[in-house]
Amino acid sequence: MTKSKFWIWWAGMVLFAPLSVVAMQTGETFTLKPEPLGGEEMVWYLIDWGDGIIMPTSHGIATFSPALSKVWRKPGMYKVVPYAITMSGTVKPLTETSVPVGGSQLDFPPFVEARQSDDPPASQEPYRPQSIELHFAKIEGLDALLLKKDPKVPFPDSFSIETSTDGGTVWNDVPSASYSHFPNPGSQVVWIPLHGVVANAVRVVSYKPPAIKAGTYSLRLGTLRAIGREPLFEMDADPKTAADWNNMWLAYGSAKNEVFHYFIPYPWPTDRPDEGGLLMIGSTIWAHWNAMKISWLDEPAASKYYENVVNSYPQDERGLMGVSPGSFLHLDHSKHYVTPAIFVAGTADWYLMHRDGSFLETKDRKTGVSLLEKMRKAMRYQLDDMDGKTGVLTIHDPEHDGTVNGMSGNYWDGWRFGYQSAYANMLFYQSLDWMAQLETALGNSDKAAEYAAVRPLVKQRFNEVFWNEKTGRFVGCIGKDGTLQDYGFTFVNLEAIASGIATPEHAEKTLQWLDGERIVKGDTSTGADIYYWKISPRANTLAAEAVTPSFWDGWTMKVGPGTIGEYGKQIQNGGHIFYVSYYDLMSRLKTRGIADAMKRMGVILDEFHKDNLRRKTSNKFGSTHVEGILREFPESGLVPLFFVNGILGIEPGSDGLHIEPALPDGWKFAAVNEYWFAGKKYRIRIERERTEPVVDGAQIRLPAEGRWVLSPDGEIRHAN
Amino acid sequence: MPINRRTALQGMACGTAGAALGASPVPVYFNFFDSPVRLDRYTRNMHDLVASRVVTEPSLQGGHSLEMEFRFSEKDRSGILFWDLVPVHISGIRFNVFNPNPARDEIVLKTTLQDTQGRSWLLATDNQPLATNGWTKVEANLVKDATVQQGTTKLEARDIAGAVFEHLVFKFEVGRKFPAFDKPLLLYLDGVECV
Repeated sequence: MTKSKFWIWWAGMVLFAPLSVVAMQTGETFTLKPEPLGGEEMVWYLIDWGDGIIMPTSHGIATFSPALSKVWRKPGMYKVVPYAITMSGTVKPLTETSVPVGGSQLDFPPFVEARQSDDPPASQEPYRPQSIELHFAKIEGLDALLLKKDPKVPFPDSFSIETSTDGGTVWNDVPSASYSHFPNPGSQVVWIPLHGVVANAVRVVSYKPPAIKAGTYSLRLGTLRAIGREPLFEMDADPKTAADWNNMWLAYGSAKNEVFHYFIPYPWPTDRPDEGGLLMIGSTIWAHWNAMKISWLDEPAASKYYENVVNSYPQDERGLMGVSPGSFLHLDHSKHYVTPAIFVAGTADWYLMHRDGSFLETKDRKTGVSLLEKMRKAMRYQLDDMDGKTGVLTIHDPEHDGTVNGMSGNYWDGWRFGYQSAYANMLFYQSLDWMAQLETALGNSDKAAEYAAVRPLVKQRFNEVFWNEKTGRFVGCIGKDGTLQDYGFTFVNLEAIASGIATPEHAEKTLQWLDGERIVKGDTSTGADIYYWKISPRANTLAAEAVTPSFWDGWTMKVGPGTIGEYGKQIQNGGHIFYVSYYDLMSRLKTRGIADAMKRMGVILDEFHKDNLRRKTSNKFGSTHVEGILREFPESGLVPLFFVNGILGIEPGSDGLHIEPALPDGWKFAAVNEYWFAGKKYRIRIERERTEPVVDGAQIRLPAEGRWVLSPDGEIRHAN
Repeated sequence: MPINRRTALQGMACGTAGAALGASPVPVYFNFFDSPVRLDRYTRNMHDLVASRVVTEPSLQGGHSLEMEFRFSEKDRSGILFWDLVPVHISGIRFNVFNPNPARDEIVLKTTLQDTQGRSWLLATDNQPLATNGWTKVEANLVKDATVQQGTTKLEARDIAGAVFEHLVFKFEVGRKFPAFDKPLLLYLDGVECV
């Protein structure tokens, strides 16, 4: 076909193409959302993009379907055919779409150089696993794996993709890349997205290889190739560390290779047996953690969801925030008086990262109140109604009196935090700084000054009121009856230190307790046992059931020997929740320096290497709330974020992005290759031997020593 | 209109390379414990089933089996391997259990499949002790070999079309006169195939 005839043909196709399909250009992203199949079985989808490439999805609930993206590299008219495949193997073609694509031809992305393993020997056993591997000379970020069928033998109908970061000693699955009843692709290329997983080996494994003749089973492929992608994090560490750290972010931060039963990584968790990482949860409780995870990413849909959901949290006339859109109560049970602080921290953080004033002006759909007004009201509520301006925030609700009769009232909803809660006070302290930074950025120095002025008093009083000299740590709360509730709450102590509210002396003493350098008499868990779970400390070192009456709120379960909440068998009572390790790492960095933090991170990485922390221990009652890593814990993604917030030392402030690196000993560099700030994409690299910063467009290279500010306009300067 | 997966997709190369061979239908779910996926991602050890791990012997297929450690208590007298599935339509199940224990340590297996409508399908292996020093094979067609209950209501399996299942429950029970309470006892599950 000549060029002119092609364009006549193309124009005709565009004119007569279905009105719902806009003509695309090569290199542009086309998104398809097939209609859901329906039914009770879970399904997965397979899309024939019409260009010789078919792309599978992971599985999910059949009344939902995924949104899939495609970039064509050659102009043409493409017939796109989605298929739904049930878990029992029924294949149903769905509605076809014709997509006209114009533009010039683009190069196909290059393949990563790899050494392919020999074909596995054929077996007489139908369930003997067989695999075909690619090994790379160094760790590689992998964008996709491309498989082609061997023309002479069947394509595997059941296979999984697994990766290794140590050359094939330990393999971990890619949860979203496990398929059953895979149709015969014929001559098509099977394109399996891997979203940047970092590995030095990848394999296609079949745990039931196809039969090539009666009684003989063999896995064969025509070709197996990988397309690469630059890893997000770069670090001067051994390759396994660098790979595992990237993959920890991929699993629990961006959650790109997880199975989502609703086909999106928020806001509903996925259930067993597919529990894994999650991007965010929409409740107010997660408002700041969501902002920490997402604000620097290029995730338009997730960002839009975040901005909509924070605008939908209810607020009462005094300023208290509800726990979720439409509800003041957590799980129909209790108010959370920490919501104003978390809401302010999250929304201020988000604004300071994006610098988009229209975000602050968006109005609550029900009340018409702007986000900024809500934030200011939330701060007033803390300062006035909760007495925050006295230096000690107090919850006056008689239902939350912080005694053994009060109700729980924060994320740690097994415990009766209330009245004068250390947890609430340290969050209040953080919200004061966030709000001061925000008001300064908006040019409201008077407002900023009010918040900033209270902070030193809050810090002073926190260390006076909540420090338990006997145990050498911060208590959880002080009840209205004056009782100190001290169960060795590691999550209170570590976030307190990380927030900067603890004095250096108190911070050091606390770490001595956690590291077993000092034993607290009477505690249930002491010494090395505090880190029994290795990847994070036990939630509490004194069992809930050790004190009668207990500070434990038994509204969901009882505690005690032989119960479902028994110490060591429940995430909030002797179990652990992984996100606490983020504050552990930041605490150690702040108090003892980067070497101490990296020692802790080394343990976490060693554990991650074994099984990607995809751990869901159950107790004898079948409850899997023993370790809080997967499913409804998107905050697990904070831990790998230590690379960005701790080592690169990046945090938004009123005047721009503050960067105060803490390069580990022996590292010459550390970099994040895609970081979005104020609407621009940057690569931020710290180099030990550099003495002066260099800004070259989007690439920023900074010395390892010093504090820097990147302005919203992209200028870099020394911080004052 | 749904098509069987063995047919090549429309527009792709025709041909039925890979047609199923042998008498056994293709499983809709199988697991012989060969993958690196942790057990606790899909199984739960409940009551007197205190631990489980993947071993290489004994094994009939795949080269691995699940070693289950029980400590039967006088209080519970049962240990449960609770197995979570991605919801899938199942019409039959087969598996093998190896019992290395002597005959006096009689253990009975009750297998239930739970569907997404809250119905329990109990296989007709009720009250039959596991073979000792050998393998017990269980192969069941759910319509013919299961009794179905929803709450306290008994239902007819043949009246239920297309049931979709989300849990397998393997309950190992001992009697009141079991001679080895609180002692460790091992059983082995070779793997599971659902068709």
